[in-house]
Amino acid sequence: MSDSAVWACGIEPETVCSSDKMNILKKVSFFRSPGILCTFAAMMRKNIHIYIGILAALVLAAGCDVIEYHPYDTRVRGETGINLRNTALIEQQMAGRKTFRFAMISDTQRHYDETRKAIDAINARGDIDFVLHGGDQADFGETKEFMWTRDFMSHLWMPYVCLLGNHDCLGTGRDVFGTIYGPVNFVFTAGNVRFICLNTNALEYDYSHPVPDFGFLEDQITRQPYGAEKTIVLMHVPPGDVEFNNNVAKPFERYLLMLPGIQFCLYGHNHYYAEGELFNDGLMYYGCTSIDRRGYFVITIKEDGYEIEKCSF
Amino acid sequence: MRLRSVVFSLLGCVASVVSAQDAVSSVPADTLLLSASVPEVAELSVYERRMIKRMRRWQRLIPRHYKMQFAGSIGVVSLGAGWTYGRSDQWETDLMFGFLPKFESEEAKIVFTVRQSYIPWKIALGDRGFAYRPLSCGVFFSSVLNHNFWVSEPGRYPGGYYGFSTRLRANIFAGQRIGYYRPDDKRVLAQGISLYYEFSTCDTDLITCFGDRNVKFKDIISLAVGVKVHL
Repeated sequence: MSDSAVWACGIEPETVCSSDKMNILKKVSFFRSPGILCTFAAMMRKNIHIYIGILAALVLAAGCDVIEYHPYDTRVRGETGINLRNTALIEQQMAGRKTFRFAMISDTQRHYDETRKAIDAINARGDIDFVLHGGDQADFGETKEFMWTRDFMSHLWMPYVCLLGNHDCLGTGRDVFGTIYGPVNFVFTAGNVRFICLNTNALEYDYSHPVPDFGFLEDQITRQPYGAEKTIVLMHVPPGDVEFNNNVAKPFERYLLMLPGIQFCLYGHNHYYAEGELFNDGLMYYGCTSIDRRGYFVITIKEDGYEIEKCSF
Repeated sequence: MRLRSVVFSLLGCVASVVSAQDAVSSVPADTLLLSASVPEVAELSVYERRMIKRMRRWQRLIPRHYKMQFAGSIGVVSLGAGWTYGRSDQWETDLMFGFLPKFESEEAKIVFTVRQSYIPWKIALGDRGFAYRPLSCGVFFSSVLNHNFWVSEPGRYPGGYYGFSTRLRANIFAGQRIGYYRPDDKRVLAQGISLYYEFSTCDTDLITCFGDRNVKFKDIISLAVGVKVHL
């Protein structure tokens, strides 16, 4: 047995003369594992700094949530079902109101610094009742990207809802969106205004799903809830874009015009401000810029009409 | 499309292994099979010698190690085989298949990975065969074997619409190892076994991290823990 093995047993070699070694080792053999394990223990002592280094790295790792099975693993941690919860919150807070003000940001992908600044700017205003995110939270559709955006958006002092953007559909992004936010087509009522949030990213679905979903739209035309006098339609991709199912662009417009008290449409996707009628029929479409261009909409709903302000931060 | 990418990556990997092993002429005892020259035995005909050479070339493709890994952005658990080579076993090439459960998505997936490692140093710990390798680093390319992921965008998109591949991820990694190697005359099942951990990050995450102050480096690293059995 080597000296290092004796060390492993916690006995200092200087105090042990060689003839006594075996006797002592027999006495402490209860604590001693045979062969390899004993050597390993000795080695641990000799190179303790190496193991402390490795251990520190692993402990650090455990503290940082560094276990990722794949960028597209859809392993969502933290808050889920946000749209469902926040639409209920908005309906509750806005109940009975005919004037209110909301902000719209869009296309925040890969620009978390600007997103953070926009959120701070919106919070600082103090006059915003709720916030809409126009889609494209993720650039690559990776699970982490959704969680990052969600965690930054959670700094908002007011409730917010998110739409599905075309980048959010990539890989398993659609599944992650569904888990964190909820269904891709959804509605809510703020005061006397019905908000219809539509998935218009037809190209991502390759015509395997109804996008836009006319069944859903028809439901909104026929089942307007009591108290909702106006309608605002939100979408990520406007009609006419290559992402939109342009074969049904005109029917889509006809359906929108049938919505009770339709006011205007809001969209994102293009990364620049735009406004105008797309079909020369009086229905206005307003395009919100992307967050990296440091702009967002503030929309005021009044008893008679509305006001849209382009804000920068 | 999927098949093509897998075949290409396989070919590239095999080529790198063969060329690297050609460069190493002084092989240790355990790689006798790989020695390049055929002994000049009078009884062997030209044909036989040629055949022996041919078989020895193909024998290089026999994996020299197996790996099992937990996490590391290539599946929850991945199993792989590969080749260890170089004067001090400093090079490693692996082919791995990882299992990715469905979690919130619709189906479970298999992730195929090709990995090239460089492990420059080996520090013996004591004289009983333990060794510490303070750095292992390299690159790996992973591919999700699933129809929802593409190498280049499907035809329905206009050219260059997204400009990246959802299926292929290029990753870099760095880590450490501790190994236990049996002496030549006492081996039974394998030369040795080593435990490793690695931190890795991928191309898309690096792009995000470099462009943004709010996404920290700690947010984009991924830990892998694994074991390698060196045959």
